[in-house]
Amino acid sequence: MFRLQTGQKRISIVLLSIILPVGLLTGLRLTGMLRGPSTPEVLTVDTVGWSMSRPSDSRYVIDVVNNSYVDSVVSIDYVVEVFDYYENDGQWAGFDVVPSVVRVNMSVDEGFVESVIVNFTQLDGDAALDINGDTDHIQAVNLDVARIDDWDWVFGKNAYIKATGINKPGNTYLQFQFAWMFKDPNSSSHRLTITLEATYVNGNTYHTVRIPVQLDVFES
Amino acid sequence: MRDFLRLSLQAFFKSYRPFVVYNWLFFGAIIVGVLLAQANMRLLPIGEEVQAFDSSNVGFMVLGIFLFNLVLSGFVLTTLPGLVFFALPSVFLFYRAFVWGILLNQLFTPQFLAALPTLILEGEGYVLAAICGTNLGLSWFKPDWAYKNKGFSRLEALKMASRECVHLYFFVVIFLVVAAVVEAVTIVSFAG
Repeated sequence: MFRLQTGQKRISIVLLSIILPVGLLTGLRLTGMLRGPSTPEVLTVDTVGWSMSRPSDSRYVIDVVNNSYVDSVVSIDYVVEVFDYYENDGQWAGFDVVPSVVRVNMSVDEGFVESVIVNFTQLDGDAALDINGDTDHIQAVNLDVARIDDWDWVFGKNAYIKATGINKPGNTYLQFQFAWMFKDPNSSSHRLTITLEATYVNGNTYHTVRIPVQLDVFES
Repeated sequence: MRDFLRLSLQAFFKSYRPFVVYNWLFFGAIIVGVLLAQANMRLLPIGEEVQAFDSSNVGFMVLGIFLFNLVLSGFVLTTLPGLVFFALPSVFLFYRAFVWGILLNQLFTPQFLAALPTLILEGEGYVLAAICGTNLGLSWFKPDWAYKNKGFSRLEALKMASRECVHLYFFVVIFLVVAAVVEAVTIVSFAG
């Protein structure tokens, strides 16, 4: 008759105290008895574009680019407002600059806003982006600005700002300024895609609405 | 070195009963955390956690994780409170397990499965660190509870518990080193 020695018995008992609870946890998760987080259902809205020829001097632009989304549950008003074009601006180390503002007004009828993320992508090697992180210049209603990543003027890098809902809000508003900078002497065209990723929860399901706005500045 | 290893093994086997009990309570607290979190789930992409360490230098990441886990999480937050009151290490241990359960629940299944080896290894390190803390606290609070029929004074019991603690920490270090390597590999694979 096989009998476990004391040492083996103890090791077996120790191993069982790990394997049984971890096995139970894993089993419950794999069989679906413990639900994991649901993957957001993603809806992408058509891109709205804006463009201008690159002027040789500074001037007012003041153009509003609006790409909004509304359905029976959520209403998202997404606006990028391009203010000016500065040629060789001294305040920005002599770069050409397009200062602009982003406004996101979001309301959910049955559910709440989980997060609002604005991604700035497709920056080329001669372009950089600076999001104004100064709290005086950011308006966040029912949102906590969790992260701003604009790479400190490193050219060619993407950037983003992320805000999360406070206490499961039904309505949120986010407004911030950014500066799109070019270091080349008016010899290149530049493109910037600003994609809003608005995530909300309706029932037990997460929904993400992606709304892109594309800005083009063409060489003159 | 051979004596140190022998004494470490002796201390480990001497502590096997509390080790088993703490293991059940530790993993039980994780399960309770997971079950309670089922009621209120929110998204937590693993990227948010990854950004805490620079994944471009794995060596630094392993060292950073190991030192943080050993010094702060293991020694300062789990073992040392035992010197104040013997029950505190288990309170902190089970609270940590409960929070881990909540965090674990928010991971997608592949990440959930990938996190389990780290959770087990790190958890075992903290269980041993908590046993050390409990022994240290009991040794001066009730020497007879810590060392039955030995007739130790408080000071003698505390010295004995400290020696056993050093030997048990040999295993804490081993668990946490392996856990740091596994955690870094897991983070890098998900970040990549």
